[in-house]
Amino acid sequence: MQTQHTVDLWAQQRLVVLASEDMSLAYWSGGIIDDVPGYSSQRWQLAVDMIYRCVVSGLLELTYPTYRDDHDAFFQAIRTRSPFDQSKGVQFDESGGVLWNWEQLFGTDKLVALVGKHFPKTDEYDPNLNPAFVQELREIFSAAGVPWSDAPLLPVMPASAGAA
Amino acid sequence: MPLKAWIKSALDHVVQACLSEPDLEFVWVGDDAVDPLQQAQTLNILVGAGIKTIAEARAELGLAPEGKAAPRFGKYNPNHDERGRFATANDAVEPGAADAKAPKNVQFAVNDTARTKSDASGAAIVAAGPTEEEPKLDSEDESEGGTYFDPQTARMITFPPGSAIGAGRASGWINLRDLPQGPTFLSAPESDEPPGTVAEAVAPNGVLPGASDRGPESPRTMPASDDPNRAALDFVAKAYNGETPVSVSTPESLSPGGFVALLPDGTYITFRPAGQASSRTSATTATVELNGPGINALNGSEQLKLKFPGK
Repeated sequence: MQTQHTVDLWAQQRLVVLASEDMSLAYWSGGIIDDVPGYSSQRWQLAVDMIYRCVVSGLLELTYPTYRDDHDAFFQAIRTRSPFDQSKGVQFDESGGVLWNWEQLFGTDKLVALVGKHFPKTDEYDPNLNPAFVQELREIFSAAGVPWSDAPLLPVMPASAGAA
Repeated sequence: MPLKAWIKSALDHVVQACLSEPDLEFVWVGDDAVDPLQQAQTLNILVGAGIKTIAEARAELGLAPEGKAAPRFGKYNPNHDERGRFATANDAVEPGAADAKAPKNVQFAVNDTARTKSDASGAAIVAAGPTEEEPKLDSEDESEGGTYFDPQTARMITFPPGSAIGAGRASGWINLRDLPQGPTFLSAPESDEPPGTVAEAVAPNGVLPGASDRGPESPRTMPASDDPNRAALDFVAKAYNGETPVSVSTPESLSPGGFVALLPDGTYITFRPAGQASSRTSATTATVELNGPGINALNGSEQLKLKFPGK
């Protein structure tokens, strides 16, 4: 399906970059995806699930020790604090915008190997989908118990819903 | 403190004896109360530099606005009381200061209340506070000088050695000497242009700064410089575009010097000094990330990450 393909490509692009760069959590809330509008709760959900999958499956790790040493607290934070939060002057631990822009992820050696396998180093940028990469990515997710699915894996809990 | 020590002792026993984890211990985090000397030096710097007035400094300490009174500084613990009450009995606080209201003649960006808060993670939010008059303050301190960057105003001020500004690190200000590659001199950015958006400042005519041979999801690289932190902070000052952030936070993991600022147009600006990333990023590269509707629209709906490498 076109939508699934687009999400695949979006995820692929992000992981290829993360194999060589530290990127903020907000990186996962950006980009263009058909049928998943930006600045929406669906986009927040997708970002949370992808980060969750990648961290649990050992592809990504947190740059800073605050949450690197406590993944449970980290997952709870990103599912309850929206990346699109524009709260002004609130305490740090209440601001989703600050959390998503401050905290960083980087690719583990496992991700570097995966990307290196499917994207041999070249000076040419290839914006196209690499089906073999996505297929192996899905296998990694499944093996880690966090399979690819359209259903929310780690449902977000907006504060307005009384779940903060 | 005795109570905290007792709690730690009790929890250490639970962890080490009951849970059979002798290598683990309970640790308090986020207990970063403001040191009274640093607080005094901070205010000394801000008043001496014309950023704050004496009245504002007194208000921040919870003191009543007494314009002709000699400035006095005391311990202030922002963790305890939003009204400016002091934490301990031996503070240099005038009687009645504990009931001080928010100062009337000071403008603040957030709820008209002077606030510097810390959370359990050690991060702080500092509210903006424009000045209203030129201050004069005598000081007995002589410093070794230094350059400070204020994330709130993007002002950079350099004090020569011997300046009567105090030698401490300003709370909410970044002493660039503390950064891995501090600059030798920075001038305060001045502009006659009216305030505008971040996108207008950094991408005039829609042209993004830096270079990239990849897609918009990839970082862009700025020209290499001898001082990446300085180059990045200069860029941040430009990106503010004359605006004052509605809030600035300094997560502990970004210290010293890093911060996240939220601009009025909804753009988050994150500054990470060189050396504060994983091994995937060069230790001599500082970064600035811009994330907001305006700038993202110019970059394929992606945040704009800019790398400032060293030569």
